[in-house]
Amino acid sequence: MIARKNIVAVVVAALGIGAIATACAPAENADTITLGFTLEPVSLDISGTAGQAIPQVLLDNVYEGLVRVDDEGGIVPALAESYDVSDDGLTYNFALRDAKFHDGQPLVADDVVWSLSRMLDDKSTAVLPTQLAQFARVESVTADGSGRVQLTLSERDNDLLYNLTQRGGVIFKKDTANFATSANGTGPFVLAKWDKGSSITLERFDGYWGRRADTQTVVFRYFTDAAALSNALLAGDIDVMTTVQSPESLSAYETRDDLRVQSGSTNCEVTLGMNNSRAPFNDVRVRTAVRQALDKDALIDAAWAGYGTRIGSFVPPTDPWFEDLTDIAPYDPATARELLADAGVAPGTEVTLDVPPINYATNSSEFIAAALSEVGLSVEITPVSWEEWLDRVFTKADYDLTIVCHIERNDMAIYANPDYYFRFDNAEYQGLISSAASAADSDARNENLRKAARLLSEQSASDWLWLIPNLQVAARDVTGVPRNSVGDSYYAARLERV
Amino acid sequence: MSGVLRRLATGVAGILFSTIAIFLLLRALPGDVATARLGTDATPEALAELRREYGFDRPLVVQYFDWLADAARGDLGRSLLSGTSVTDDVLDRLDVTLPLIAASTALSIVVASAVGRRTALQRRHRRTVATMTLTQLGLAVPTFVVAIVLIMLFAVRLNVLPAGGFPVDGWSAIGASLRSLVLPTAALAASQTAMLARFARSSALDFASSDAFRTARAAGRSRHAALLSGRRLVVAPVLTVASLQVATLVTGAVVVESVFALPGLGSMLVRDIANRDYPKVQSVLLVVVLMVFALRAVVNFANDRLDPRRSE
Repeated sequence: MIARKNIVAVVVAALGIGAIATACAPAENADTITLGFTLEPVSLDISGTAGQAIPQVLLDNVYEGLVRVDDEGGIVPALAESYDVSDDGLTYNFALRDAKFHDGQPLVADDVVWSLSRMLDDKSTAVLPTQLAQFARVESVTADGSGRVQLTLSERDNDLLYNLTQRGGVIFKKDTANFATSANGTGPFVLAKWDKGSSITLERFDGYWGRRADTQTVVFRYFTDAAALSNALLAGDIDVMTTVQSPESLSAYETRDDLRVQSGSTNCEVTLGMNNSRAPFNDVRVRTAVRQALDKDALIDAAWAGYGTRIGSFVPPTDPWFEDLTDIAPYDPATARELLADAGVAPGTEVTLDVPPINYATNSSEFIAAALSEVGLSVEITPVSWEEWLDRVFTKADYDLTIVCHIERNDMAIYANPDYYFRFDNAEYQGLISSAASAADSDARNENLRKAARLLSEQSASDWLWLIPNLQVAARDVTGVPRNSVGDSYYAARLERV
Repeated sequence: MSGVLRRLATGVAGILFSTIAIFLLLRALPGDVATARLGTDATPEALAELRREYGFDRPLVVQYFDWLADAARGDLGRSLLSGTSVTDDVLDRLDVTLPLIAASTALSIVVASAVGRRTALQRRHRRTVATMTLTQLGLAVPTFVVAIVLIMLFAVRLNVLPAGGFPVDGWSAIGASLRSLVLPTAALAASQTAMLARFARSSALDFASSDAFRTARAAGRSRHAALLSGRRLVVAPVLTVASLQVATLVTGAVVVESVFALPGLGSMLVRDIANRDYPKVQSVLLVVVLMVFALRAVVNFANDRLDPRRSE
């Protein structure tokens, strides 16, 4: 009998907990909007620690630069009210706004000089090497005492304004020492709390210089598990799922009338990397054959539920130098077979495809292996961890084929680096990229990049499988969800519950 | 007394061995924290400089003993990425993981003991057969499946409990904290209960065929009462197995914390390992090892008290 009593006791206890639980159900708060992400920052050090999760939450929300990228990819003033560039492109003048830091101190020109000068010490380990490289052409940052700041360059740099919008361009209060666990910025939100492993809470900054945030509290919640993220949305725990990891799951949300699916553009080109320094892929005919063996439309249907955009080179359609190049190396298995025969590649030649653990890669690897075996390449699929991928494939370029999405904006320069893991070494391409960087105006630069993109495709340096769409699912009563993902930040100031 | 000393010596040896294993295994992994911090496009010079700043260029033996010496003084070091104190981080995460593991262990021991006793008494009853089939199922179904089913049912469909997460205010929001741990506790306890129930049953069956049981029956006690007279002996093996399983529960917590998006020790470990934050990971693992050893000691002590024959 006691045994039965035990069971009864357990049931009663469980019901009791359930009752407490139900009684304390939190009411939905109209002033709070919760966003779901998959990657949490490891630190808040926006200029010294890599990873997109840091600028995603902090850039433009907590920290600001002199200029900012808007949702369409255009560059607009931020902490600089206005700016002008000298005709030779070597001097930039910024007029600062009357802004305040979250701790109440005013923004002064010395803060800008101090912050940007951190990018000029090329021995520094406190700043990411990428940022140091972005500011390599900046000679000096000076203030003239009247709220203006001047940047002097050693040579023309058409990317400087864009680089100023990114993490390297963030303006800190002079002599800030702790970057990793606190953030004193000028942005529309104050960093209120970082609950490690769970969420970052932003509160509206009432002393903001511009239009204040539309919502009092925005919570960035982090889910390591994609299913957990999806469940949180379905259960109403979060308002926006900022990334849809598996597009085939979209149907589950499309049937709900309280949710809507939103699709925008990204800079993420899913790239089939071919090792240009290793046989058989050191032969342009073989690389072209690989591209012609792949039916991209069918691949996008199979791997990404038909949601991707086809691209014929390493340029997303949102870049000004974009040109439709999908007619270069079109799907044509017969030609692919001929090209392989011309190149002396025997049918059944074995190659490996290193597949990192991410769904766009795993979803497309079988399709690619099957399509390549149709034209006579025998593909062995090797799943690799990210650590192994970074070490063996990315750093040592010890691979034949691999799949990875390149997300950086304006990243055509990686093909100009012969040591990059593609091992694409083409003097003409390198010349075009360097002319683009020093071109006298944006037209000339766009023209150079257009030519470079075409050359890249004609040389089949890689294959570009599709452009990942920016898919999000949001509660219908939430507006102001940024559509595209073309900068590093997730701008939260226009989010509002209506 | 010598028994206590022997146990202490084994414990210390075990912990020392664990520290060596942890230290070496972590360094055998490819990749390092300098790459995690500076990004994939960092120059070799920048990486080398950062590694030097971190002290990774010193001999491994020196690094190992430095760590051990600091840990012995109670200084677990700092995360290389966030700069936060490991002690603070661990205490912060134990807020979630400790209640989770404690509650699911307690739940599984109580339920399993009850189920074990009942099923031992009614060997051929169809309820017994059904229960034992259920325990078989509980063992076979992976924890994350149980977790997802619970979420789909209680959070998505019935919407009575949150799908995951833990309140930002922690335990000061006690109602919300309890709510957020109900489903994770149930999910973590499921397979544990199933396994312990089988041990409890066989342990109860053992007792039911012992002289003590027959004597109790001969003295006129009912089967229930006779079995209850030996409940200490029935529970002892269950406790032992449960204590051995605590390390497994930490692994299970990794899964449960991930599916329920809980900021616990398990999810922190997974992330720090991915980032190769060695000094932090090795200190956190050391804490886990110490906790497991401490728990074993407590259970050993409890078993000595439960079964007087052991301490003779």
